[in-house]
Amino acid sequence: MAEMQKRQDIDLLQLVTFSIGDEEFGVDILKVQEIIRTMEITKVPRAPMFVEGVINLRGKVIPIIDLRKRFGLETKSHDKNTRIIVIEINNMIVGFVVDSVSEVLRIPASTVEPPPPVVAGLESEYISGVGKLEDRLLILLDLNRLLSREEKDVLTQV
Amino acid sequence: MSQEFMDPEIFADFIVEAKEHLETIEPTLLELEKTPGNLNLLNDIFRPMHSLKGASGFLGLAKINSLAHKAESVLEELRKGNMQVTSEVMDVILAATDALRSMIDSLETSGGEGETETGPIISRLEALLAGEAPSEPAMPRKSVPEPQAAPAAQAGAAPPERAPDRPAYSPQPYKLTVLGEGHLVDFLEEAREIIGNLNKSLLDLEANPSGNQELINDIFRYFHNLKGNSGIIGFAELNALTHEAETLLNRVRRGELAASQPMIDVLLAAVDLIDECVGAIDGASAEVAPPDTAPMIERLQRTANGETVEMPSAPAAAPGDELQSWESQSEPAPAAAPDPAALVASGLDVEDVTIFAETVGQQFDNIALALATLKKEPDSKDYIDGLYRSLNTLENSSGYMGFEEQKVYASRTAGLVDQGRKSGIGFELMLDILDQECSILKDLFGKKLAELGLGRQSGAPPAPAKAQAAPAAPVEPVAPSEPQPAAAPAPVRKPEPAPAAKAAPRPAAKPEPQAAAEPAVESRQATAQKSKAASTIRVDHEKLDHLMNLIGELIINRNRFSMLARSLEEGRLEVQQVAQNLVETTYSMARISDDLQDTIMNVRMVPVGSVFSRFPRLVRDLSRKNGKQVELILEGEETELDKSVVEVIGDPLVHMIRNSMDHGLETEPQRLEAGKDPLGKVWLRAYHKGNSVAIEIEDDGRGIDPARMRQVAVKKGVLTQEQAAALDDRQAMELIFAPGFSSAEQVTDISGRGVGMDVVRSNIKNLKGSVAVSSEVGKGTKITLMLPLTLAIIDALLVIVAGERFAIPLDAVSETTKIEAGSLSDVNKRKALELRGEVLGVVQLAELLQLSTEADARPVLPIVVIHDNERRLGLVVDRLLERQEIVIKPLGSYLADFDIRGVSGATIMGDGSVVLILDPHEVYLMATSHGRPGLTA
Repeated sequence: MAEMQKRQDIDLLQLVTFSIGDEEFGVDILKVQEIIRTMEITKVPRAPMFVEGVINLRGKVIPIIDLRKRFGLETKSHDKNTRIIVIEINNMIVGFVVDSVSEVLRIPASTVEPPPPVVAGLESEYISGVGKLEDRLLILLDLNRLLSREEKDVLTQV
Repeated sequence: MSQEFMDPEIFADFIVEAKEHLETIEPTLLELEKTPGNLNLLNDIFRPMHSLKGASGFLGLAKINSLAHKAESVLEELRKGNMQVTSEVMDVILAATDALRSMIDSLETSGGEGETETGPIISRLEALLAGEAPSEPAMPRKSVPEPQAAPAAQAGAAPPERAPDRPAYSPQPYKLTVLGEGHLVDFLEEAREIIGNLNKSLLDLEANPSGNQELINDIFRYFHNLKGNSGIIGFAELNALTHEAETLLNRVRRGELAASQPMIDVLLAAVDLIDECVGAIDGASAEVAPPDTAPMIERLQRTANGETVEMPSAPAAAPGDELQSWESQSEPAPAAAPDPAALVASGLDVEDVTIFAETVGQQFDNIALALATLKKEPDSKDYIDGLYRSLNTLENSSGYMGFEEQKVYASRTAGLVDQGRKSGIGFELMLDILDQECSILKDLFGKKLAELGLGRQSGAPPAPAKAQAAPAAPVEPVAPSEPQPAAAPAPVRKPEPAPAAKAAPRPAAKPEPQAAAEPAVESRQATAQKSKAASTIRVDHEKLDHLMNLIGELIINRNRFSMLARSLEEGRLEVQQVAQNLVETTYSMARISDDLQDTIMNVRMVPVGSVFSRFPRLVRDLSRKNGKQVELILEGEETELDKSVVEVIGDPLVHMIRNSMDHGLETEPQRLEAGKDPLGKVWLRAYHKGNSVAIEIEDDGRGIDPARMRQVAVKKGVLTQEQAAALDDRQAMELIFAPGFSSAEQVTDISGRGVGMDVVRSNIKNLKGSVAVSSEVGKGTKITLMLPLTLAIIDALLVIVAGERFAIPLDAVSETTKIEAGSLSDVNKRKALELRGEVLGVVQLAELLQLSTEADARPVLPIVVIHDNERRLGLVVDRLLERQEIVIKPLGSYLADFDIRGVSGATIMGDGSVVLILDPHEVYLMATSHGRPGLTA
């Protein structure tokens, strides 16, 4: 039983997709805790540039990362489509600011290809693959890398 | 052991079902005893017993099956009327159900039927079937948790003359008899208390060995209580051990023996072992993997018989190596070096054999550690891999030596582990079988080593039949002490006749095989963590009543609110009046919540004495080890702190006391030369200071020399020459907190590795506390820890900086004031201000936090004066807001990895917004450290 379930999981990826600029991204739905509208964000002094600050998520203080800044894209002020995707990974809860959230997609794992060296101007190290849909490409983010300690070390030095 | 590979789901179902069956059987049995003629009752018992038999047979649980089968047969006879229901018959059937229950419990916790002995019960059942009057053999103490067994065990537990037939030391964990969950927790708590008392009393006795009858009575009572308690829970090893100690004390009490130094040493070592025994209890499953107590029991007996037991030259800090060293000295160490004759016969190289023996010893230690850890966290991949590697190493090294049998077996076991980790089945199911495999493996290797003339390999089954030659156990918590014998072949390590000199390092005390010493530490930490998880707090009943009352008021108040809401809805009351009522109700709400907060805080407070009490022992052991005469003076033990704080300050304090004793205090000749009392003093004191508690560790030793600190810092590459020269004396002293810094000329096994103080500071920082050092060369050193009374809620001052709100802990605020911008002057590129005759450094907080760089053009500046220990600093803010109680929330692990200085956490305001809490200590450091922005404002 469990094994069959597993095989299915491997075959079919369930993704939450969102857009930043002109690109569409996807993250594993199991990692997404919730999606919220933006709210008042408290700035944290001396934090890295891409950390927008912290918010109060039902009594918990969680850090908010602006993915535009994180990927080195030009910044954009929040509007009515702006969303915060709250992700839980390795016991860390982090919110990502994205331009808008699109949909939940199931795509067969076979349509995902390993990332080319550079995708849409951002380096492939945060990308676990590229999903080929009928009419467009979907960039699958590697959240572990995005939040890993070494990454952070590098980023704080830059 | 076929059940190891059963479908876990079926397995779990069986356990639930079996428990239900037993629950039906037991009360019915008791009823049946009262009304022996009731055939219906018999049927009610027979059916579940029958199902139990069937299900266990299906699952291949042989022991349960055969026991249930026999019990069923007896019930069948009763049902047919071939046998009469008598209390004897009932006893046997009850004993059988008890045994069944303990096997099923063990199935649930460890996945195997466990060690319960069913043999005697089965033979009793068979005797019943054969029509004999059942004899009443003594129940094996471990297996049958019969309620009456406890006092019996207590009264008759291993008196000296019975000692030889004491149950052989079994490394297998077994289950304790626990009545309800709280029982074990109570036992553990009480045992720890008693151990603490014992340590203290024994030290008192040492200070005054003659004539203090009261003290000896106390110690006797402590041992006695512990003996009783351990008897009740069926902890045989602990029971026997405390019994011997009690016997010894009894003789002292009656004046037949005099308390002597060797005797106290033996008793202290016994207390250590008792501590270890208690630590070996797994609070969650009520199982215990007892350490070997046999050597200590014999030692106590010999002491009780008036022999002076040869003691190691100095008491060891760790009970493990103390025991070990004692063993290696009292035993005439058979063939410590490989027997050349045997080797020649086998055609092997002496060196090879020595290396082999060493490797084997180490690997078995690793295996023991891995198994012990896996018992606790069965899915720890690192340890599974470690286990596999160790087994692999064993395979390879025995292959190299040409020991075919060992090689094959090791490879088989390794294969098993490999299979287990690849197939992804829950590892806990495999643990039992691995445990067994490993102990067989150990025996095999032990035998081989014995053949090679390395007879002292502890795992060897044919080891001398003496009680001391404890067969080593894979799960034994002290297992890491084994490498000593393994390393013994080196001729240098032949046990020397213990030199009398106090300071001489004993051969066994040195952590010679490094790899072996570390697991010891790790496993100890593992147990420490474990015991922490089960931490409880004792609460005064009165406080609970008070809490209950408050909750009552809270509910009444809630009802008042809903009543007010209703009257507003219905418009029955004037708005004015509703408002009035609302205000009143809100006030009483505030009062209740304040009271609740205070009471809960109060409940969480425990005296620091509970941590302090372990230090006299530590100081004593250290002072005997490094040959310095030291007196520890405790003050303010009754000072109360939040329990969560008290739990974590123990280790930092150990570090600092060791530092004081090792680096701080001079040796006796040095002290005499300096004209000091040869007896060094270390103070450990706690007292309240504002909203914090201060803990000080002070010594009257050589003090910290700032000049030397600078030198060392440069030499160790912590600072450059210029940086070092720029430090003032206080900053130079604070170098002791820098990572990688140790000014000790030589690294001893006690301290001086340059990690201690760094860790201390970060630990204290995690508690939102601070550490400061002050010292005078030649006079002594004082380290002060400031700890918050509680972790969760603090008083804070809210300010606005660069348009954002921030909270500053009120503890650190000495005053707020407004100054004219013109009164600021430049001193050393810093802004400063004369405030009531004192010069005060001033910084722009906005700049310090890198929030804005705009020049401040206001004529009047609001200033918050903060203090970090004795140093003060003025912070310019935009605006001062009110003071408020705030709840501290962590910033989360993601941000914790960045170096976000100056902010210690966050809090959530009434409107839901997040406000950051500043860390005054870091703000001060940021303002004063060199080359930071903010100074040049």
